[in-house]
Amino acid sequence: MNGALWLAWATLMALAISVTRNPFYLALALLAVLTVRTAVDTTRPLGRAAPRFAVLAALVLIGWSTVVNVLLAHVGDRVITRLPPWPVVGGPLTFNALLYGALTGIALATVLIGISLLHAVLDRHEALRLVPRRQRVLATTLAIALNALPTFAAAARDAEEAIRLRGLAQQPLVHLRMLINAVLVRGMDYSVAVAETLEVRGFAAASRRSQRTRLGSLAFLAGGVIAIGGSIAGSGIILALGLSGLAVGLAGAAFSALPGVRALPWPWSARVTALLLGLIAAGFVWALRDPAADLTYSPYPTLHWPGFSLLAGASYLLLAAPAFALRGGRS
Amino acid sequence: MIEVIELRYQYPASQSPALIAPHWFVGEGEFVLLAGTTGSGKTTLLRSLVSLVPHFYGGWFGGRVVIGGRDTRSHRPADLADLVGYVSQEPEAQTLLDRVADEVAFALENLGYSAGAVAARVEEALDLLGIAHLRERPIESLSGGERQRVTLAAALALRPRVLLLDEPTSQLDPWAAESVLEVLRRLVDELGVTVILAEHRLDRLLGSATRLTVLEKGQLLADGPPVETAALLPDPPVLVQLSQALGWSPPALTVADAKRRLGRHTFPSRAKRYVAGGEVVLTLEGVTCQRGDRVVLRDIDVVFRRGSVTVIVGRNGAGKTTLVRAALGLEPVQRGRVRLFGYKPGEPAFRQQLRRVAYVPQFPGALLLATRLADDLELARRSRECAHDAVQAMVDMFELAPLLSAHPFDLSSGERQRAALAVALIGTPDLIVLDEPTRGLNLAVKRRLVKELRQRAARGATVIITTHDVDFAAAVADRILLLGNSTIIAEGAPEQVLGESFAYAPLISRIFGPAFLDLEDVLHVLAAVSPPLD
Repeated sequence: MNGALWLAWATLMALAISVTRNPFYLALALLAVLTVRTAVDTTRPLGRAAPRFAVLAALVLIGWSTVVNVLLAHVGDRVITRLPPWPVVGGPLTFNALLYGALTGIALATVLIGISLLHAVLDRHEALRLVPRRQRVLATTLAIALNALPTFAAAARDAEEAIRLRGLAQQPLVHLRMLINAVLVRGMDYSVAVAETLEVRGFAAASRRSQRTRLGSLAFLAGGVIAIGGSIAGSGIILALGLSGLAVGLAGAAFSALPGVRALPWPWSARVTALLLGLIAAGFVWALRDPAADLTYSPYPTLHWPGFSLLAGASYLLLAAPAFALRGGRS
Repeated sequence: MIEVIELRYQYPASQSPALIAPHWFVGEGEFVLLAGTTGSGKTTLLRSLVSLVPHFYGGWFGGRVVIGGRDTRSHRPADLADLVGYVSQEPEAQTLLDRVADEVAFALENLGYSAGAVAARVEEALDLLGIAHLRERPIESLSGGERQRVTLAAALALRPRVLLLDEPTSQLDPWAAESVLEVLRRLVDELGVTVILAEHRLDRLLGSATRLTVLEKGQLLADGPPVETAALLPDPPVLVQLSQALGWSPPALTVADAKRRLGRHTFPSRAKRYVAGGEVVLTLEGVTCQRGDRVVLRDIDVVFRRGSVTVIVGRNGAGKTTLVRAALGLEPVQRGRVRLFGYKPGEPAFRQQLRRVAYVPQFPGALLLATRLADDLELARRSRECAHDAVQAMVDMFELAPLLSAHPFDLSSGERQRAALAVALIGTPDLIVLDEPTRGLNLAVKRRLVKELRQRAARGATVIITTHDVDFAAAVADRILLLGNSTIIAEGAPEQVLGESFAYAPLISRIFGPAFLDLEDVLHVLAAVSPPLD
């Protein structure tokens, strides 16, 4: 697995989960992501463990989403109980809302766990290679983002130590303020240093913006504006024109990033994984067009049993593919 | 190679210019030392040479800087990357990637070198700095000094024609620092590279430099060959002070030169300066610490007593920081026992005992928690329950008065170090633990720190310091621990462990022998020598 494949997997996983609330598919997706997480934690391809905070945050997220949805969405045919007419939360509490809240929580939690794995598997060198040479701002942003988690974690740990050693831990408000201040200061410090280092190490060196780059950016911007206009006006032709502009801009960026993609390691296991990811993507596109797959399942307004398609189910389960392509140690 | 013409620069949030340099020219193959106190403009001058000023930092920029024929007003730092290598003050913040080899290769890839050329140059740079064994190591597992060598390797891999280095040896052990200087000498002598290096510790550099430029309050105070300008330094290095004391003119700039002038005199030894040994404050028994598969400390047995100053030395990555962190319960101990004031880490009372400890970590900015330095000092005063004049004493000692309203983010590396020392040392802590405390400090502040720590030890405090600054270690310590191979390999008085060591001998010991550790020792003995030396 290389950086491009991990990014492709994370994007595919997030998109696939965000389009459904079908409990069967969500369960399969959660199972797949947890399998990948276990494999990452065991093999540690970059020597880093999978972040534990993501699992804790995911549990909190599921609970929070369920409770909030039950209290706020008073819709559905299966009423559990009724609250007095209090503002906002008053009214019937339904099993439908409870289920939908829990499913939304599971979807968000699965995406969170999956994305958090990038911290442990995404090689920063490979990720920066994927940035088109001329995009200095994008590279800086990415470099800062990739380093943000360890930087913030180190800043919080150092600040905690300093607070403890300076005997300030007894004052919770002071404690919190100092912790936030330390993390922000270190974050800013680090961001400036990263940007400075990228500059002096020649990122985007001698890359005066070419005419082609300018046209690509213009096509992307104009395409976006026209596509929004087309959607508002309800005109299919204008929308198609806008989407074409967006496609031209994106194609330009992809073309510019191609040398970086080629420079990544592509052993046979990476190629097989790339093929599998392509098949999974095709499976999802097919499932989106198949009403029997019931990706758009909703427990509102009446609770009913969700549909299931074998192809869609297999696609969600195959999100576990990276678990079988991992090797111990850095490739 | 470098022309600075009518340069005047002011940072965006500043009220006054940080740098005014009417004319400054540097030829090809020169080795220029930039000297001056903290905040004198050394870093700003280096930033302006690599075009970070004004392109990156903004502000008001007047005049011209032309480097290798390229005007920095029209060339961004990235456009100079093939010509200028730059290493800034803090290596911790200069690493972008996961692995050492990738970090060194990154700039080469950016400049479009072929895969073969990248591999060859990475190997060459790693070999030059003696870090080939770190090639596959994750950067986050490296010590501060190892990181410093990695960032140097990343700059050297480009084979720049101009190399700009901001305190490049501040975290290196003496061997590593000497090998870096040797590499720089060879780059200058054999390849004609122009090196401009800003430093506080000048003694080992003066003999190699072709020029010494002294900055003071953003202005060029002196510029010329070191033999002429060294005497003009506001805070002269030890060799120059020794030369002045002995009436040598021009001053000796190398140990060899000083020895030659001194002739074959022998000197009576001074008695051991300090006597240490009160009650036990801190004990480590059979302590073993591990990071992943790597054993950082193995079976460490050591005791620290009241009234003693112990300095821990050792090569980069030897485990100095891990040892002091383990002693304070900040690092997990796989095996063995730690007792601080009689308590074990993890016991409820242990946490209370930490209030009796002053600790300055290797990254001193971590100790600054408030939004103004004045607030940090006040919090420390209240926490230690001491009088207001305790704050003022620290402000005076570390020259912090102009910085009291500053946000920690706006302080330079040296200023943060001074601020952290002041915050930690307020009041009367029973145990003082300082991890690399002299980074970015000028000689005057270092001397005051030595005096203060000796006084505190005399009043009963226990002081533990880790440092690569052997001259500082020799001046302050009454016991030295030498770490190597994850364990303590030598322990004893400074004149035994440092004075008789080849790598760790202080400058004065190299000239006068192991019994002499600092200038004070020499002057004391020479006062009794008759006739006076010339």
